[in-house]
Amino acid sequence: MKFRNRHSDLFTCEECIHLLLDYADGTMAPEVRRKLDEHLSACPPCQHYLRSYTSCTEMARQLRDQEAQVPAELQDRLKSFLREQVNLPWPKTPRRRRAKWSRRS
Amino acid sequence: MKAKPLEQGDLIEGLKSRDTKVIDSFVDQFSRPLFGVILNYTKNPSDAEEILQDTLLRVIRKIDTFRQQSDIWPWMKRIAVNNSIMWLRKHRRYTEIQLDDWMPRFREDGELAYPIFGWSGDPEEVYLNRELSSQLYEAIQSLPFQYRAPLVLRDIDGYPIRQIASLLGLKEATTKTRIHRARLFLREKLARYHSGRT
Repeated sequence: MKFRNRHSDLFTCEECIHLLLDYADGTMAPEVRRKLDEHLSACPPCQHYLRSYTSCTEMARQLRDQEAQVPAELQDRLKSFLREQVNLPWPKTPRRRRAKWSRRS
Repeated sequence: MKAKPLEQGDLIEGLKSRDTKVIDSFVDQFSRPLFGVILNYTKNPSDAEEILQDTLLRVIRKIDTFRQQSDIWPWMKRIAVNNSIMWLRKHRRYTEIQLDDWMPRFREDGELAYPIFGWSGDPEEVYLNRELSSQLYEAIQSLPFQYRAPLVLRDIDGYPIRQIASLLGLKEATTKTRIHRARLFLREKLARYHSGRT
């Protein structure tokens, strides 16, 4: 596999995409970043690639701290379970029962 | 009937004394956000519910170790994350996909081998973003555990690479490679989804 563009010192697309994590996370050395920027400025496909790559990480961040529905039945079972279990010595707690709760709504 | 939300100090004291009313209130207040954290690591309902149950119990049992000066939520969330990772590592039983089919292809000279369909989330397109977000969640859940765990820790829960490596018992370089491959997979999944609907 050839890794470097033989016509110039610019990164190839392959090198560019290989380095996107550090680029997107802002953990790249300035000199490497400058070279990558040079490639990006001349390569629309890699610009598209970078935009969609960073868009994924931004969308993933939006999943942080999202609440999920917990059915009332599940909450009731959790409460009963905790009341039973909290005063038992730890780690000698008996094996937990496999709950037969239904899926969150 | 749901118990009234408690102030942090009252919650901590109540959990320390194993007050059943406080335990009820604790479940009402924190089961939903904790379940939200756990469901990013697994969408399997029975796994997630079991992890939630175990997490709530651990929080109560470890409450004596909590430093009262700080906010209790990050501490609880850390317990949920650690618990999810430990539990899933022990109970892996998923049919896992191969990532190679979703990686970018290059020509011999290192240039991209095919035209790239680029897209990026437009904040104005609320409906599309909701759809993409749901596709993204499904795509994350379809990742093999060894890629899903570092990706979720990094991109959803915002842990630094060093901490993720330590939590998963990996080298930092391996951790970064896995996160990067997972991101490439997600990008390709969403790009194909997006190109299919336009």
